Amino acid sequence: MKKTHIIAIVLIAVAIGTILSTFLDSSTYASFAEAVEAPGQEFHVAGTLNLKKEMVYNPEQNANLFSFYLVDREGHEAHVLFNGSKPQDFERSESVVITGKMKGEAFHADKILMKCPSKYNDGKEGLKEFKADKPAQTTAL
Amino acid sequence: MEINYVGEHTLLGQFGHLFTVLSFIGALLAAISYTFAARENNLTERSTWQRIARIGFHAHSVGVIGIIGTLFWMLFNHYFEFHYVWQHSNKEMPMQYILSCFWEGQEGSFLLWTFWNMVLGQLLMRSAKEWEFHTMAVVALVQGFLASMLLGVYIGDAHIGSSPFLLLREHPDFRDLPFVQQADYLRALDGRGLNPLLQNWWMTIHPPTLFLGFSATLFPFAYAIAGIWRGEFQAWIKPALSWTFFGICILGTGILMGGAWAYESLSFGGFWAWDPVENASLVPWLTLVAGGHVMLVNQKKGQSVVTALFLIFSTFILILYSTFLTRSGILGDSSVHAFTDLGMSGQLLIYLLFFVWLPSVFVLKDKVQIIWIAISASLLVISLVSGFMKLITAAFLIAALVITFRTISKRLNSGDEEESATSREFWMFVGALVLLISAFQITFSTSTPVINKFLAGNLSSFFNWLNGIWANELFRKLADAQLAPQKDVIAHFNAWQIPFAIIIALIMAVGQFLKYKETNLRELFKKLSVSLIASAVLTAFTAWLVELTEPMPLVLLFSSFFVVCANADYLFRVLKGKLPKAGPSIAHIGFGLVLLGSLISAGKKEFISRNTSAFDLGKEFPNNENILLARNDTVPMGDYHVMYRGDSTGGINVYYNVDYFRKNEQGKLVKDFTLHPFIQTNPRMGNVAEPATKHYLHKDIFTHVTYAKVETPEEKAKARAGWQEEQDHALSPGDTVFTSNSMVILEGMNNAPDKVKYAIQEGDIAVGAQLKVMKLDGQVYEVMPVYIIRGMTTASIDTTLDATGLKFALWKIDPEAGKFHIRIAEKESNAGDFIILKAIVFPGINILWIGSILMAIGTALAVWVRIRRKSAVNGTA
Repeated sequence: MKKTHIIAIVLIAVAIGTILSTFLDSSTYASFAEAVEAPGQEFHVAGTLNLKKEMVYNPEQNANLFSFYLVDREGHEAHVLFNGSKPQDFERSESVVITGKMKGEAFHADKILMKCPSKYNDGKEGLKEFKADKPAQTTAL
Repeated sequence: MEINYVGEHTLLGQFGHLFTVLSFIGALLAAISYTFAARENNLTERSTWQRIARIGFHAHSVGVIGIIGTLFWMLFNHYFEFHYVWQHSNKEMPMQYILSCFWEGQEGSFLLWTFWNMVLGQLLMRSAKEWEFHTMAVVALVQGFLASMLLGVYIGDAHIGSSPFLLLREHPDFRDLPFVQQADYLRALDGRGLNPLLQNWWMTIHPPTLFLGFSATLFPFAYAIAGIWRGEFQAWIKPALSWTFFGICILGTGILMGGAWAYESLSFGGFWAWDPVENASLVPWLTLVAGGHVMLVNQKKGQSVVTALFLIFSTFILILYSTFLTRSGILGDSSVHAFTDLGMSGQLLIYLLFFVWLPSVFVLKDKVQIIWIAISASLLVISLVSGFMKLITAAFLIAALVITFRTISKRLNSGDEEESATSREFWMFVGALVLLISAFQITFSTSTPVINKFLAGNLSSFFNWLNGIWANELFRKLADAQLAPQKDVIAHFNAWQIPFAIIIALIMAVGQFLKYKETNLRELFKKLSVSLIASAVLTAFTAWLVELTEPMPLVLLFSSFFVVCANADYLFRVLKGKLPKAGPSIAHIGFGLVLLGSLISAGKKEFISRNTSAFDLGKEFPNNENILLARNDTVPMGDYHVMYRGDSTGGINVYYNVDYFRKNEQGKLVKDFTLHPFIQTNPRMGNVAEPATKHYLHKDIFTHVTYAKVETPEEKAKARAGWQEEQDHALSPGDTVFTSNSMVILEGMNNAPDKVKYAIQEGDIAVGAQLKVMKLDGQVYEVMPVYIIRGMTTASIDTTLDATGLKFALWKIDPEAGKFHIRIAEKESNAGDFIILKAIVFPGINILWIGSILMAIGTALAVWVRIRRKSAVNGTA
C-alpha cells in the first residue's frame, strides 16, 4: 500500500471521528417537559424569566447560589437553581438560555446565556454568558 | 402630508448613498472590464479595457473613502437622524471611542473589510504586472459583492444590503412610531450609545487588525483563481506567497488580539473559550497556514498543486462562512458575541455558494463550461421550486468541488512519484493535512446550528425512520435536529485539538532539520539530541513546578518545549543567527511559546476565590468560584489576604477598591497591591462588570466583581443613613468586642468626664466608658459614651464614630458583677456593603503573549525578506 493511501485512510477515519463526536458530545435544545422525562441528562433550555415570581440571591449566605423561575418556549415553568452569582441586570434580560439538568423539582443550571434588554440591540455582544465553576479536572487550552 | 423636519442633514445622507452606489458600480465596472481585458488578445483593445477597469477601481476607491468620511462626519457631529449613528453612539460617549462606534455595527464592519480590500487592491493593481487582469477581476468582483451589502435597497420588506445612511424615521422599526411624525423630533433625541463592553481600547485596534487579516486572504485566493483561469496551475504560487504569509501574520495577530481583549476586559476568565465567533476566525488561519506551507513545498519540489489550491480556496470560503456564521444570527442561542440578523443571511449564503462554485467554471473550457453554467442555473431553479432545496444545493456544491479538483489533477497529469518518508516535503505535507483536519473538526463542531437547519425537514424524518429500525443515540439526535453546543465545550475541543497540536509541534520541531528528498536518520538524531535532552529536562522541571501530571498535557508540554528548543538550536547553530533566514525559526519558536503559555496558564489556572462557606451543593453541583467580601473585611484567598475597601465613582464607572495583602516574615499583613475592578453603569443596555488584573512576570491575578449592588449616590446615602439593631455587650475593663470592621476595647472608666462637653450639671453622677476602637486597617480612635445619674433618673449620652460607622452607649452598670453594659450599633452601610468577587491566578500567561509577538515578528520578517528579494530580482532584470 502506498503512503498516500494510508494517509488518506487515516484522514478519513479522523474526520469521521470528529463528526461522530460532534453529534454525540452535543447537548440538546429541549423544553422542561423533556428535561423532566430524562432527569440527569443535560439540556439547553431557552425561555423567558417569570418576573412575578421570586428571584433569590442571598450572597451573605451563599454567594454561589441564585434561583429564579423560567418559562420555556412551550410555556412550562420550572424553578431554576444556578450555582453562581446573580448576573448583572438579570431582571432586564428578555430571553435566557440555561444549560443543566433536572434534579427533583428543580432544574440545576451551570450556565446562563442571557440576551440583552433592548429590542434594537443588534451590536456585538448582544448576549452575555455566565458560567459556573467547571469540574476541576478539565484542562482548558 | 409632508412634514418639514427640523434640523435634519438629509443631504449628507444622500451623499453617502451616492458614494455607496459609486463604490458598487465602480467595482462592477472594474470586474467586467478586467474580465474583458483578460479574454482579449488584441493588445490595444486590451489596454483600453485595462484603462477602463482601472478607472472603475479608482472610482470604487473614491466611493469607499467617501462612505467612510461621510459616516465619520455623521458620528462626529451626532446626527442622530441617521439610524446607524443613533444606534451606535450618543452624546455622552467620549470621542476616543468614535472608531469603535464606527465598526460596532454590521454595516461599519463590512465597510472596514471593504476598505482594507480596496487598499490592498490598489497595491495589487500596481504590483501584479501580468497577473493584474485576472487577479483584479476577482478582487473587484468581491468588492462588488461587499459593496452590495451596504446598498440598502428595499423591495417591499426584503432588502439587498443594509445602508448606514438610512434615516431613523425610515427604519422599519421606527417609521410607524408617533414620535417620528413630529417635525422637531430631533431636538431631544439622543443616541442609544455604544455597548459598554466595547468602550475599550482593544476594540479600537482588534477589529481593524482582524479585518486586515480577512482582507489578506482574498489575495492568495485571487491569484489561485487567476492561476486556474489562465491554465497556469503552478505559476500563481510564487507571486501569491508574500500575500499568503502577510495574511498569516496579520490574521494571526488579529485573532490573538481578540484573545487578549477577552482576557483583559471581558469576564470570560481566560483568553480562549472555543466560542463560535473565535473559532470562526481561527479556522481560516489554520487553512491559510497549511496552504502557505504547501506552497513553500511546491516552490522547492513542484508538487502538491492540488492541495495548495484546495487550501487557498478553502481559506477564502471559510472567511465567507465565518462571516455568515457570525452575522446571520444563526449563532443567536450559542455564542456570546455574534451579531444578530439584519435580514442579510440569504444574501451572504448566496455569495458563499457563488465562490464555492466559481473555480469549477474556470477549470472548464469552451462548450463544457457553457453546459456546466447552464446545468448550474437550472439546478438553482429546481432547488428553489422543489422541496429538496438543501439536498440539491449540497449535491450541487459537491459536484462543483469534484469538477474543480478532478479537472485540475487530470490536467496536471502528475506522476505517481512517492515522496520519501524522511523528506522535509513529506512531513510538511502531513503537517498541512493535520492543520486541515484540525480546521475541519473546529468548523464542524461549531456548525451545529447550521447542521440543525440542514437536518430539519426531509433529513430529520429520514433519521427518524432509521431510528425506528435501529434505535441509537446518534440517529435520535439527528432526527431531533435540536443539537445544542457540547456539554463541556472546552473539554470537547481540547480532546481533539491537543493531540493535533502535539503532532504539529513535533513536525515543527523536526521539520527544519529534515532535508528535501531524503534525510539520513542517524545524522538527524545527532542534530536533534541536544534539543531532545533540553526539552525533556525543561518538561520535567516545569511539570514539577506547576504540578502537571495528566498524560496528554504532559506530552503537549514536551512537544512545545521541543519546538522552542529545536528551532532555537536551528536558529543559532545552523543559521548562526543570520536574520534574513531567521523568520521561520522565530515564528516557530513563537508558536511553541503560545502552546506552552496556553497550556500552563489555562491548564493550571487557579480560582483563589474559593467559597469557604459550609453551604455546599455537592460534587456534581460545584459552587465555589465566587466569594463574598464585606467592606473592610479581610479574607484569606490563596497566598493573599484580600480586603474590600469600598467603592468610588469615576464617570460612568463604579470602581471597587480591593487591597491584596501578603504576610511578611513577622507574620504581619503588608499591603501588596490594590486592584480596581469596576462596573460600567449603563441604564440603556445594562451594567457591565470589567475585571482588573495585576500583572507579574510569572503570573497574573485576575479579579472580577461578579455581583455588587449598584446604586446611585442618592440611593446609597438614603439606604445607608440608618442603623442596624444595637448589640448589647457586658464588659469588664480590658475586655474586647469585635464589630464588622473593628475591635473595641474597654480600657477603663472615667469618673470625671468633661462637664461642658457632656452638659453635666451640679449634683450629677457621671461615668464615662473609655473605649479604644481599632479599625482593621490599624487606625485607632478613642470614644467615650457617658452614663449619668441625675436624682432619680438615669441617662446615657451616646457617641457616634463616623469613621467606623459605629454608635456606642453605656446604658447600664452592674456593680455586683463588675460589668459595664455597652450597646454598639452599626450603620446599615457596614453590613450592606459587600461585593461578590471572583479571583483567578493565571501562571505563565506572559509566555503566551511573548510567543504571540515572536510569531508576528517571525512571519513579518519572512514576508519582508521575500518582498525585498523579489524587488532585488526585478531590479537586476
